[in-house]
Amino acid sequence: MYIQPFALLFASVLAWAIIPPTIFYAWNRISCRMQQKMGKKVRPTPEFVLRKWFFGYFFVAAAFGWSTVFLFVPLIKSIMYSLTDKTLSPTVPAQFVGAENYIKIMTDPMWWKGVAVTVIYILGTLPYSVFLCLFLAGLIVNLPPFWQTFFKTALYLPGVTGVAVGAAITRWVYYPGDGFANLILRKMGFIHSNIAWFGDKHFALPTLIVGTWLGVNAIGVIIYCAALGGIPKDYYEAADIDGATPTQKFLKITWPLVKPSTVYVTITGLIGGFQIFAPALLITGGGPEGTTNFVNYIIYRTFYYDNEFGRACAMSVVLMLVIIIISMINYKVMATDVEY
Amino acid sequence: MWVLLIALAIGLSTGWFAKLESNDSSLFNSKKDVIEYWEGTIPGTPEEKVFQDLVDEYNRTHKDVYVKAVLMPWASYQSKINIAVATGQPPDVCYNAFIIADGMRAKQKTPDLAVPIPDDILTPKLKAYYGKNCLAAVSRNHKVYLFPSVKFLQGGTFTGNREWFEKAGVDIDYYTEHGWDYDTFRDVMKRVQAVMRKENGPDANAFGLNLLLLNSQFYNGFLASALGRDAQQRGYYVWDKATKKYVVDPAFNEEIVAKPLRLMQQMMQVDGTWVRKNLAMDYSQLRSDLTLKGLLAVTWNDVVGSPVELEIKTNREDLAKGLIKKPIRLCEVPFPTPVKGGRPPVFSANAEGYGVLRQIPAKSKEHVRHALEFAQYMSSPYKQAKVFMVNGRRWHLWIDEPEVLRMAKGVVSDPLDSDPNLKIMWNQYLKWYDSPSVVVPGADEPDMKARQRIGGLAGQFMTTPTQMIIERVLSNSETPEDAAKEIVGAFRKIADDYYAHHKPTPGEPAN
Amino acid sequence: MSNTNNKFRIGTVFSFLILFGYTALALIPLYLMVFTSFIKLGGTFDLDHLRLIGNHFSFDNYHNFNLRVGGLLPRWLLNSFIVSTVPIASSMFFGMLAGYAMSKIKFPGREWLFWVIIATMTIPYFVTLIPVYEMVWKFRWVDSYSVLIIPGLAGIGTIFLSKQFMQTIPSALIESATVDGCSEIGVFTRIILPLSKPLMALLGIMGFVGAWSEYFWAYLVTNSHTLYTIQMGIVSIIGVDQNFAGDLDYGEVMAASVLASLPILILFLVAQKLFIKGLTIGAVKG
Repeated sequence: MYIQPFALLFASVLAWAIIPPTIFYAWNRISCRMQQKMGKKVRPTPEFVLRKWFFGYFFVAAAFGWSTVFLFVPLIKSIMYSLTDKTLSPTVPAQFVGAENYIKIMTDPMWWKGVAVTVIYILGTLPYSVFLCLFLAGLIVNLPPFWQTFFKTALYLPGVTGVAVGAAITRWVYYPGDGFANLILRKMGFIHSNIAWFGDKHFALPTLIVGTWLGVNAIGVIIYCAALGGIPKDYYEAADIDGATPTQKFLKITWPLVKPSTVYVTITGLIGGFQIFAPALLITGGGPEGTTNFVNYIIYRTFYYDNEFGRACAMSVVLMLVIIIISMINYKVMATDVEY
Repeated sequence: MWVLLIALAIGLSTGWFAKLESNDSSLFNSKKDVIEYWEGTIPGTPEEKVFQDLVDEYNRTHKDVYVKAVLMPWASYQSKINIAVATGQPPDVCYNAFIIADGMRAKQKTPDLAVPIPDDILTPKLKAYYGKNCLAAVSRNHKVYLFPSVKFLQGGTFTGNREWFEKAGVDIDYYTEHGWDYDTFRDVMKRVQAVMRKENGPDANAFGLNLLLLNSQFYNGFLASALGRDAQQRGYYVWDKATKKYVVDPAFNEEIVAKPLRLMQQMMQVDGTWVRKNLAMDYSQLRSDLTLKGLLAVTWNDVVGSPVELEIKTNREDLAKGLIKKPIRLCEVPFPTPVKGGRPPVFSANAEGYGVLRQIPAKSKEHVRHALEFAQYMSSPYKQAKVFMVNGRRWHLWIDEPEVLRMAKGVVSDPLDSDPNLKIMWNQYLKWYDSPSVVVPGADEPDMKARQRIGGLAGQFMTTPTQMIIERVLSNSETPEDAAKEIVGAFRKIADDYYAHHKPTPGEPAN
Repeated sequence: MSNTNNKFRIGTVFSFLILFGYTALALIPLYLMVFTSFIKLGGTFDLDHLRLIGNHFSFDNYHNFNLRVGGLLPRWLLNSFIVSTVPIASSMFFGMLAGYAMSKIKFPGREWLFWVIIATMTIPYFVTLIPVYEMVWKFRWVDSYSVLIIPGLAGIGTIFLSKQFMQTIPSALIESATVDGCSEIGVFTRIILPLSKPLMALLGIMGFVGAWSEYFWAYLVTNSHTLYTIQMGIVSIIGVDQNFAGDLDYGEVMAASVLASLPILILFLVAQKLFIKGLTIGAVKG
């Protein structure tokens, strides 16, 4: 079936530009008329306000129309597919199987292992990353402006190159034979024979986690810098006068005041952490015996290799729910007195 | 504002025009029939360039078709071809076409996309030339689906470095001919390792396989030599006349399966002739440890005869680069068997080639015909000669050997003429191919449909799940007996599950 | 966090040491990448190869990589450029229009749309990818430039960012303009656009960088060598889904990586202030 895709996009954009304002316009007119009939004195909505409605939707139509075709509709389709046993074959129709996919996922030990791997990865990297960012930001804000920009730029630089390049470099550095990491560690006397980093099932995941520690999440640093810069110096001076220790200053002044940023960094870190995928795809292939089998990688294998779209969609829906729930919990726990 | 719109328009139209460019056919005369041909290659090798040249030449000489060659890395080829087959939009011509399509069909409900070769192209004379065993490997239900371009034997042997066996005082040719049992094998490995360690230090060990090889070496090698030729010929299932169902072959039982597992465990845990670091190595590392570094004496064999290719490559390229000081000499090392005193190795005959797949919705008969002709061209001696002329390596064994060598005469010399060790291995191969220890692909089965489905599911089990079981045995976290129970149990379960949902269908052709 | 004056020196030195340490640690991979792209790596590697003096530097790796992929390296770079320049215009176009409407024009359903955007930003990659992938096969879009470009243009993040940015533009300006009889479109072109030049630049850069670094989608939907972007080229050489590297010359891979990172690095160094500002717009309140 060859559907002209551009026609679909065009239709979607037009729909956004025309349908919602027409509906609101009609609703407005009808409710005005009804209220007038009931005897209330209602001034009809002025012309220019109504015009705004049309323009509003006219402006957002392009972006939302495009997103409808490639984001919103696929989202709904995904949820629909998760209830069927859809595969990619054009000749085999998808049959409704209800919650069977979900049950299969919940009872699959490999899925739970993947969840465990992903959770371990997040627990291993996120708290460390958050505190490291805060710590480094704290150091940076006390420097002259030139050095501030210098360090912010320098720390951001490695992340700019992209994930594929990063994976290529990691692969080379942690080569099981005479790779860079092995040679350096041997030279410094820490180990005697080569470690098979990503080939050994005990080492694969820790190597990934420790590798992340060696890098810095520059975005977090920059955000914390901005937040710390917004804390008035008077607070600290007042605390000094009262004879507060540095620890007390940190806990009572700094930490509560950067809470919004912490919330943001944590939530984005969680969302990003659950989406971890590239190392499994490009370096480990799911790891020896499934030790780096991240949830996203399982989803990828399910739909790409096993051709089971229904189950893969179910898995991704489950993942989505998990992320939403955890984000909400995180928000509730941390943002007790935060105005957003 | 207008600037933005114009920029967007330019951007989109660039994409649109570029789309036309990538489908080159639209630029040419649209009357040409476009044939899509996929090949999995190793990027950057001269063979890749040869493929492209051959396609260009074909396009020049056949003006009514345009062959669009899509060459991609081998690893992504394997996954993409599966998806393409699943969506009903596969390439017209590709290597091992029907094997891939059937593999997908057994796992999911994809339709049958393989196109059989009609008899006017595959004449009786041609059939006689290829030979029974070879054609059997590329047929299904008495119809031939591929033009064979290579035939080979699998299983049976490892690749070994002859030097170490000589230094340890072992007559490897004797064992290659007669086979050896587990105790002799372990003993020889220990002796070889002692010699290696004396010369090259504690990093050397005698035997090495990596994680990815475990399942294939187990089923095609260790287990085959334990089961013997006849049991291996039956496959792991036999037809039970009474119930008209397939059941697990009684010869394939827990006891016999545990033996090779125990051997592997002993080599790693007790003898120390196979060490953990080998499991993490990749294929090329294992090979270079064997050929260049002198750290391995025995490792995997791609197909029987590949030590010939490996020796040629090493002695030609690596010697010149100074990576080794003198030419190496390799040998075929047979898999051991639990039979006392040993017995000759067991091989499986196989063949591969190019075939045609059809599309959904189907294209015209003429299109399919053109595709078949191109597939034949890619399996022809002409193409093989061109590849041989580029790399001078005997890549597997071609069908039309003498003709290929004749065409390449004057351009590339036959390596066999300059190296007597190669001749030994080559003659061994030729003797084996016609010997009674060769398992030939099964032709007639009473219930083809069930056999294929069960075989497909068993095939899935024989990859990663088996690999993980063996890895557990090797690391001592599972006993060989338990692992054997698991494996045989899985095979039994596959058959039972199949018959729980399907009735026996004797006499019915496979779908 | 603050130190008294006579502890100033020690505190700063301490800060510098730690910061330089972490920066160096984080930059090691980058340094290795650039360095090894200029030396001969080959089969055996020793730490000796990494010395600065007396080492043999050359462009061999770049040349060899090009040969290895059959002379397609320039084509791959070109493909990357083609795929990345369209999102520049589209990010600006979609983002600015939608952002302005969401922040300044009062229309019904606006709040609801905003929550839709927030919600969409939290859903994982694969949820939407799988049906789009199926769509691509149905449209017979596989192996073309369109499929690389078109789906990527739907950027929710750009709308969010523009909205946050445009909220800072004083509404008074707009009101006075409309009182003077300016049409909506006129307000947009004459008032918003000139004030949002930094935003436009930011959106353009984000669009470019996002499209340039995209490798997974390219991996899924392209088959032909000639259609690879440079990221996909690297991926095809190092291999996918496997734990083993095979017969790789990492020097060449690093050379390709350098080429793949170069445009973005240059862009980043030139526009760093903008990058950094863009990150903080959406995150910190006020």
